[in-house]
Amino acid sequence: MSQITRRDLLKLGAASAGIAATGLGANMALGGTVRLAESGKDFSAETGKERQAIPSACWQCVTRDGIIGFVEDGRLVKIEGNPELPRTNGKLCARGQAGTNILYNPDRLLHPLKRVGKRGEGRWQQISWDDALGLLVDGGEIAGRKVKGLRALRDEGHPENFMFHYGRMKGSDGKIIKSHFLTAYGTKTIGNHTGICECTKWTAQELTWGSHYDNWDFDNTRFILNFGSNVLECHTNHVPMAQRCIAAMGRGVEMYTFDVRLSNTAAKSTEWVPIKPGTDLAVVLAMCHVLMANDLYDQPFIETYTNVSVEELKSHLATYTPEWAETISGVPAEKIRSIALAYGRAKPSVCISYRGAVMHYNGVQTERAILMLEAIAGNIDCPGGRCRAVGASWKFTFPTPKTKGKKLHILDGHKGAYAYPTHHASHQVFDMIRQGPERPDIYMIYCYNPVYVNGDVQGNIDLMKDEEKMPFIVACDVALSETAELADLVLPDATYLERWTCDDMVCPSQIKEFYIRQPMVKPLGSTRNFCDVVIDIAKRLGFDLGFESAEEFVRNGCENTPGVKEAGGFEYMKKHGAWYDRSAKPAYFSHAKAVDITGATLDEATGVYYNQQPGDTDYSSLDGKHAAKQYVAQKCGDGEAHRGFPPDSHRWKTGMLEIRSKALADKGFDAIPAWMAIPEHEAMGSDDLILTTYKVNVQTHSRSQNCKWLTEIYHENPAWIHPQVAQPLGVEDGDMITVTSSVGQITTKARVTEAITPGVVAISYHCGHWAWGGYASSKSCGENYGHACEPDCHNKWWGKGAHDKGPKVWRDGRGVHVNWIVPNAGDPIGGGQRWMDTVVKVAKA
Amino acid sequence: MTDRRSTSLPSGSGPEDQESVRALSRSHCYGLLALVLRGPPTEQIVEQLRSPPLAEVLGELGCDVAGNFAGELGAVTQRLAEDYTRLFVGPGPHVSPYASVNDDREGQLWGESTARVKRFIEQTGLSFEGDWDSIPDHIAIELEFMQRLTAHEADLCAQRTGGPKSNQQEIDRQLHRCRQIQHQFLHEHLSRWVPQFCDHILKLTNASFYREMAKLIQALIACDLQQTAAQEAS
Repeated sequence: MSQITRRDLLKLGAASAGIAATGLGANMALGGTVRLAESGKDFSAETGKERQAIPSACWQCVTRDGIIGFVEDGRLVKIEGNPELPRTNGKLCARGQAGTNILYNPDRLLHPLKRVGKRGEGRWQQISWDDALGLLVDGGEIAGRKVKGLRALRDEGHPENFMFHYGRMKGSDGKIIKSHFLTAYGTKTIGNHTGICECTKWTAQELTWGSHYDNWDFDNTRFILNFGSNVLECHTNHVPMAQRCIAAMGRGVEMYTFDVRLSNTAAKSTEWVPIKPGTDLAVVLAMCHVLMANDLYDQPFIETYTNVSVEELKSHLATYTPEWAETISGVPAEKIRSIALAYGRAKPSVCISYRGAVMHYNGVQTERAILMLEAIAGNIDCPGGRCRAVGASWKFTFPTPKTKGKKLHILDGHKGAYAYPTHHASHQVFDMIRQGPERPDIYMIYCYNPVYVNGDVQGNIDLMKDEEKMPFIVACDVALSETAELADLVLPDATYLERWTCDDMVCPSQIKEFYIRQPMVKPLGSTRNFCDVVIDIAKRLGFDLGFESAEEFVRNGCENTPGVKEAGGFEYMKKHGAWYDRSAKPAYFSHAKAVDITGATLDEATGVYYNQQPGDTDYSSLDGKHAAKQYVAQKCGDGEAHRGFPPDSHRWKTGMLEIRSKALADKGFDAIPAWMAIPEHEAMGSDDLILTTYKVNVQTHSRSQNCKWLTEIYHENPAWIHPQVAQPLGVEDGDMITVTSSVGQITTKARVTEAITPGVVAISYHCGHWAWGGYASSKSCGENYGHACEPDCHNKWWGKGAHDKGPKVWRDGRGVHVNWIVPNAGDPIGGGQRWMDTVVKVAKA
Repeated sequence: MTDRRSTSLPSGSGPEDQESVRALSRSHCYGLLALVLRGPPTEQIVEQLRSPPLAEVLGELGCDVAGNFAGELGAVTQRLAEDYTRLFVGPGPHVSPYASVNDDREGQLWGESTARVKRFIEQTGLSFEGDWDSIPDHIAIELEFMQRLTAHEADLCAQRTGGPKSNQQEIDRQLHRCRQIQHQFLHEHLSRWVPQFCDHILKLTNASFYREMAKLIQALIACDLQQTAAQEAS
């Protein structure tokens, strides 16, 4: 049919008229009647463009900066930082600016999909929301197999067999979905991703100073000591911290960075101190030793607010000399000594730490040792030191459901594996399901890509393909991830640029900053904010959450939160995006606050003043949750009642900064941080290397790679190895190598560089996607993936013409994902994934 | 310049009637194509497609679609829905049904060309319905827009036949404007990306129904470009 004539048209038109008669084709998308104006005075390209500035909040990473989006013709054309906020001061990183790429990604998922082939076969059917939610709620057939829906699980009395597993869900999103919907439904089988993120650090802080998450007061510090934080590239509070860190260095503050790799942070530091992986603890202990030996300790702080004495510390630390630490860490003793002295004398100084130091077997004790160092130096919660985080707390008036939920015991790893998995062991969930006997009937993931982000990728894929062990998998995301491609039902989520949230990230100025996320544009296609979807699901199940939309929930927060309310509530927040008390003073020294103890009971054994309830015998008898709830104050070393360092709801502790932890001693660990060797590293052969992983400044862990601009900048992750390692293997820069661990092998490209400690191989995350759209996977037109027609897929240089030998083998323009060779293993205390401990062998490919 | 064949078409009593019928036919053609590209087909749509008179005419036009429709209605519908999803949604090799992905320098959804299409459509007095769930430059919406314009043209032609003489001049002016706009839209939008979009469909699928619809769209646009140019010139 190369041509049709008018006659053909008449015939086809007459035949098609039948369709018009049925009404099937009437008014499909366009309403109104055709009225032809003579000129487009409302929409002239030259004069009629309306540009609207909408303040909102980023979500490209957990920092969630304040942003302003500029909308023209209904199209978001640009994102900038919101200059009115003290947290970010109007700055925004590359990831934030590339947010439009997530919104308008040509591989974006725009409609619900139901699987019609085998899992992972790639055969789908676009379905309506009505059908999709019908399937989720009432069950039905997927590719010839019957599955149970949410209603059946609840009617059977087992709502816990619905597991909800999220990757990123913060602020009021979490309130709506978790505290209201999932609670009302009755499941407590709710997984998160903190086990692969930073839970080791959090557990350590909870054991020591009660709450989790710390702030480093760069604005007022005089010295920065850094263990394994890539603070200038990828801190969890990136833009606020990076700008303050650089500003401090601009004032002449020195920063010493201990890292196995010359990260950009290390490169910007006063000095990069290379260190053997997993030995930061030894160096920190030695630094504590140096401070004690040189009388550089804050005796009043130690004796008032910690539960150890100066003498106990001296005695505990006596053998941890810099010379001893040198034998463990490879860092020269003199270097340790001189940096420790500089840190101790520069008061206030701050010791910062992140995944490089803590995502190890000994990570909890490393972080606790760092808190001990800060306590010794008197840098706790003071201007210029390490402070307890200050974030907004929103108030909502919707009553939370009182349903007593049930849960499957699959969130915290195998019984007894971890002493205090207070933030769960998310990397173990798949193994728990694999081993059974408890397994969810419905496994739902939300903004989470477990196949890609956990270790043992092949194991993850194999489990997800097992329809006996995982009968019904539902994914809610903005594009088809590696995990969603293995699901049965996929729900298209609204991006962060299309939805409502009350948000609350920590402000490094120690001031509460309240801010909201509001839609810049209407959700694209038939995508929907999942917070709105759960309201519908609840209605289908026969219960009402008490609010009709996420917008109503956010409005409620704005109208009821003290301060925000008086400023003008919802209307004010829509206009400005954020509110903070301009007269607020930064919150320091909260532990020193005097507390009125009238009516409280003193527990003599612990020195805790608490609200005794009927049945309590003493404070020590309370479980963690009640200890936190009933805590009033701590009788400190000065005999006075201070606010102290209260426990949070995760675990029991006193109100002292617990350098000596009874909780740890009870489980057989050292009560005061002591050296803890990494078993696998002790047993290494001469040709073994330690694999370390890292992140870069223009990518978020797993989900920013569908941003074209970002992936154009960063799309390959060669393995860094030192020339001393490469030479004996005959490997030169750019050669292909294999990297093999106990769980698998990848073939990748070598980057031979002196910017890494010998004995280490470093491979970044972000790369090697085999799904998540054409940009992330570097597959496009003419290949086996992606849209055929995006013009830049022909122009782009990354991955062009590269041969694809499968996801475990390097491909130009894509690199290879490192998690194929990282086993899922948690630290024995917090259960945090040991990203930096894997022992590997490298060979020339 | 006029097309001689048009005068010999056996319809209506006068040239105005014939013009009206022609415009209405084009409208129905666009409507058909908009419908089949809007989303996965429903059983009702499939039933229409495989029944007379549409089935015969499609056959006569050389559209090799009959093979697609054999079998139980539910199964046929599901197969076509799967073909639609594979072809226009992915995640495998697929072709984006949005103009901006095909035509804009940035190749993203809701690009500059989307804004242009939206503005163009809204300038004609039409608006996007509150519950529509697509993006303004989806192939189906551009085709639906042509459906609406051509239906309006047919209305105007009919008015010219029946109405008082005094209105004729105004109607003629409106008719000219309507054709001008069609031509402009075909030139500035549809013909810029749709022929290539159809080529991609032809390359990417063996699902003959959508292959045949792609060929039909290409042919319709080619024919219409020629005709609107001719009408505008006259």
